[in-house]
Parts: sequence; C-alpha cells; structure tokens
Amino acid sequence: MMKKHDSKLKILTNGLIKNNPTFRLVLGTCPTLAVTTSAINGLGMGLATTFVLICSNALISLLRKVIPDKVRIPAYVLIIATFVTIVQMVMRKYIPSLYESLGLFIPLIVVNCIILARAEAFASVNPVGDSILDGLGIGAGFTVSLTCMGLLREFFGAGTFFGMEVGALPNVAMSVFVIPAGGFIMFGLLMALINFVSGKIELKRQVPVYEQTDDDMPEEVLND
Amino acid sequence: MKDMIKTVTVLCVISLIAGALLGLVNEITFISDEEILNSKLKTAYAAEAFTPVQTASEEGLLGVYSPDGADGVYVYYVTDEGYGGEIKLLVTVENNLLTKIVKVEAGETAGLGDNAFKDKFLSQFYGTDISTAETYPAFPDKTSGVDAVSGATITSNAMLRMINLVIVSHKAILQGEAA
Repeated sequence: MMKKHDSKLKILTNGLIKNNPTFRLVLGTCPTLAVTTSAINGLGMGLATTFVLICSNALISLLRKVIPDKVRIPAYVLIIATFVTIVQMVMRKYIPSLYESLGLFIPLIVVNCIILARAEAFASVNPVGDSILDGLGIGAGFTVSLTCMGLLREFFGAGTFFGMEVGALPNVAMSVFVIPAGGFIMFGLLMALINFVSGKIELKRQVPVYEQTDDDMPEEVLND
Repeated sequence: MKDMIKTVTVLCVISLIAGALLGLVNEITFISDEEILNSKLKTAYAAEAFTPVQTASEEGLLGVYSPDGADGVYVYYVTDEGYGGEIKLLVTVENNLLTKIVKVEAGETAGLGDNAFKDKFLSQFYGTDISTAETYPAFPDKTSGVDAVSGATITSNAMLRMINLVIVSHKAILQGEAA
C-alpha cells in the first residue's frame, strides 16, 4: 500500500523538477519564449495548457484500448484540439483580457509537443487515474516554469511585478528582456541554474564508495 | 477490410463526441462581436445604451457612437496598423474635449508598444480641444509637444494617426451640425 502511494506522488512531482518539461525535457519552447513577456501571461498560458493536458490525458487513457494503433496520432490531435477549442471559447467569454494577451498562442497549444508527448508516452499505456496525475504534474511544472520566466522577464524588462510598477524601475528597465533575444538569454540562464542545482542534489544523493555496504552492491557482483 | 471499418468507425465516433461537446460549450459561451463592442463602449463612457451616428466614411473609422441621454458626447471607434497587427481604439469626446481612450484590440509587445495604452502616454491627449486641435505630425517630429513611448515609435505613430482621424471626423461632424 505504501509503495502505491509513493508512486502516485512520484508521478505528480515528476513534472516539477526531474522531468520539468521546459528546462529538462525542453518541450514547448515556442509558447514559452513567446508568451513569457509578462508573469500573468505565463501563468495564464500554463494554466490553460494544464487544463488541456489533464483532460486530454484522461480521455486518451480512457480510450487507449479502443483507438487503433494506426490512427492514434490523428485521434490524439483531434481530442487535444477539442479541449483547446473549449479553453479558447471559455477564455473569450470569461477572461477577455487574457484571451487578448495570449492571442494566437492559445490555438497553438494544440501542437505543443508536451501534450502529444505525454499522450504517446504515458496516457496511451497507463490507467486514467495515473494519467490525470501525470497531466497535473507536468502541467504544474510547465506553469511554474512559465510563471518564473514571465516574472523575471517582466521584472528586468519592464520593471513591473504582475503589472504593478516597482518604484522607479520602469525607467531603467532593460527592454531586451521583453524581446525574443532576451527571452532566449533568460531561458538559457534559468536552464543553467536548474541544471546546476539538480547536479548538486544528484551529487549529494550518491553514496560515496568507502561508505557502501553489501546492500549497495548489485546482486550479480555479490554472487560472483 | 474489418480493420479499416473499425478504424473509420472509431474516428467517426470520436469526431461526433468532440463535435457535440464543442457545440454544447459554444452554446454556453457564445458572445457576439456586438456584445463585446457594447461592453467596451460602456468603459469608454458610462451609459446604458449607444446609438450609431451617421458620418461620412473614412478609412480607419469603424463607427461613431452617441450615448443615449448624453448630449455633445461622441465615442469614436477607430483602427490602424500597429507593430503587432491591428489596433482598435474607442476615443471619447465630451463637449469637444478628448476625455478617454480605451483599447479594444491590440497585439503590441508587452513592456514596449503595450505602454501606449497606459495613462503615462494617453494622459498627454486628455483634455485637448478636438474642435480646434491641429493634427499631430508623426514621430520623430516633436513640434507637437507630445512624447512617444520610448522604444515603440511605430505603435506611438499608429496611436497618433488614430487620434488625428478622430480630430478630422469630429470637425466634420461639427461642420455637418452647423450646416
């Protein structure tokens, strides 16, 4: 029972750091760079993508035994496109300001590699519950990444925090960060930071050789 | 053959379900362009309803509206090409004074062109007497005394062109009324 709970949690946290879609899997880079000119845009896009991820993962997992292998990609894209259109219609009615800011990038969620990749790699071969958790985890990782990028780019590039001016910063803001070049620079810097931190954590996790006991040895070596 | 029938059937069923779902959500969330314009008009001037005003057609002038129950108030719906596509504005003129500019639609860069819709830039135009104002020359010409949005000349010029259109249209309406 303990093991099952552990693995459910692992599916959920998988998308946050270890398999972070933006900085580790480097998927969905197009919307990442285009939309993160402000924190609220990054957050909005992340949440919209998470909703589509959860719904499409759930439905694809539900139909995984029914969809013939030959037409799985068109079927997946059809399902993903349906949910993206639903998100678009709901946003247009209830959050028009965000709908206007994100513009063309909302329908582009359909071809966001993250969603198709998770459908192929996870939802098509796992039960519905796990697929929903995976969608939630990867979506959360994407949302956090996008919001961070947006926060930093907005702060350095426009001197604002979620649209609110921070003192006199807007007058000395480095506009490069709100244009594509700056987006790439920020993306690279954040990726380097995350790799550095992950590397340190991995290093700490590794047990040094002189502290290893027989338990750490693989079976083949012990039985030799 | 059996494979093909199964494949086609599955795809058809998924399409039908998707179509039904989309139709349902559309019913719930449908909002017409007219409704969107109406809600924007209400932010440009507080009124219950607006009536379109007949004017000579001008390029970029999408319409002129007069709020019901308010005399001497016109809301101009204008459009021009910005840096990132079309910009649509609502410009309110109360008793010949420009009082408000509201963004209806724009795709300008956040942090650069988008600053053209903030008070820092727009307040330069508030209070101008439209009936006697001269049209603004395009930036970098600074003789008019207004400042562009730094780093966003194209957007700033588009805004100037739209305000110029309002000046021209308003003067035309006043002449029409006087005649």
